[in-house]
Amino acid sequence: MKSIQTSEDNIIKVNRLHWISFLETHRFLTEKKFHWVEWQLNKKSRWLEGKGKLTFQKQTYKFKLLYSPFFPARYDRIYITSPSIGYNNEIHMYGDLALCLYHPVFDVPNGQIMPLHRIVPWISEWIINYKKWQKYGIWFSDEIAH
Amino acid sequence: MFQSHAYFSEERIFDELLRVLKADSTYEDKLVEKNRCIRIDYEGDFHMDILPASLARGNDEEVIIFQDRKLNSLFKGNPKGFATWFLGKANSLTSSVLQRFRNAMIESKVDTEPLPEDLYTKTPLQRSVQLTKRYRDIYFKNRDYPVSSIVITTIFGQFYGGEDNIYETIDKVLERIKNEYNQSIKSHKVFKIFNPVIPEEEFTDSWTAKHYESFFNFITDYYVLWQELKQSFERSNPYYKELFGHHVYRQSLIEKEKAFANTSDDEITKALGLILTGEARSDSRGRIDSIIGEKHEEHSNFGG
Repeated sequence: MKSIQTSEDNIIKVNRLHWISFLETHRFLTEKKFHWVEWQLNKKSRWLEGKGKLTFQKQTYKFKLLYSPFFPARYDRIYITSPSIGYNNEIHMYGDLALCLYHPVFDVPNGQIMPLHRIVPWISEWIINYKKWQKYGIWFSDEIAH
Repeated sequence: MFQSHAYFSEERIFDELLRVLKADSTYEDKLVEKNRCIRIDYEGDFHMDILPASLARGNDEEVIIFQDRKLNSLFKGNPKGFATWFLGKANSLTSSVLQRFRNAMIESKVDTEPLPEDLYTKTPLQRSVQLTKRYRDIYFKNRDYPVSSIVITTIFGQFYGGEDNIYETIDKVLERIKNEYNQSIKSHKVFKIFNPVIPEEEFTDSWTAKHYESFFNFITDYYVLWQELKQSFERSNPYYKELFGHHVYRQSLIEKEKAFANTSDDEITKALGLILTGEARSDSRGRIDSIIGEKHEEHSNFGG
């Protein structure tokens, strides 16, 4: 367990040391696959910042996506900026209203980090689940409670 | 005094069955000795009750004799006859809404995911009894004097009026039970439930005032919750969870969404079907389909 933690710490250190090339690489990989988010590298804040929107059933959801190796615990912070969706225990949000799209331990390979391009499709999934949750009051996809 | 064909006493039959099961490593740690039966308690919510019994002497070859170890008495039973009586009640209906729906799908050759056969073929009465027992388990989890399965099955069979869907069956049967119960009180009579195949056996003969109170409270509570389901689904879903538990409610909806995803015109339902079956892909615009784009990797939503 300790060696896994050390390996993860080393990866974070390397990512932080070469943060510009790290973020540009993730931007490239993500832009190649998904056009619905526009990305900018914010050098002052040392993060990738994305803005995008998804429309399902005539309802448009706007997102702000941040990705940085300098964030604690996980690199992504993904927020819905419109419409305003309040915190609810059942819909998989962190306290700061960032979406909880994956389990930070079970879904991340040992000693690795979660790449941005893998997270983006789960945003669409979250919206689908959210729409169904509004109707039925349950979360359909696999879930793990905090 | 009951007389059986067996060479051994009912007590001996019970003890011998218990001995054999205890000697088997598959069952030895799963056995629970009940008053009348031996329960094999499997992991999860599953158990099987085995009732050791002997065939009674007499004209009816289906009548059995078994022992109640707590009361130290012998009792007669007729489970086969009871099943025949109940199925007769359940099948008094020509066809149910679900059966008609199934036939219509077969006739129109709609291509859907195969659903469990018994979803359509179990009658509204059978399914209603099943759901009621489920709520009974939840309701009496922390309460005394639970209503037994035989009482629920009997009373639902007796008050069933041939409704062709599950919702109406539960709605009407509960209403009739409540009315009958209140009528008994008004006319100063005791509300009794008899075994329909052994008329001299009264299921309520050992009931105390507490049993009656518990029974009526259960029926009333169930009835009140059931009325809430008449509201729109968006408003009534907390009551489904309360009635049948979160897990059962969630699983049944997952099965429903999977089953109807292929034929639905609704983009959310279609997308959810792909997510639940692990076929989801996202195209460059973030739309979910099964052909174009990046395949979604397995993950679990976390938190809450």
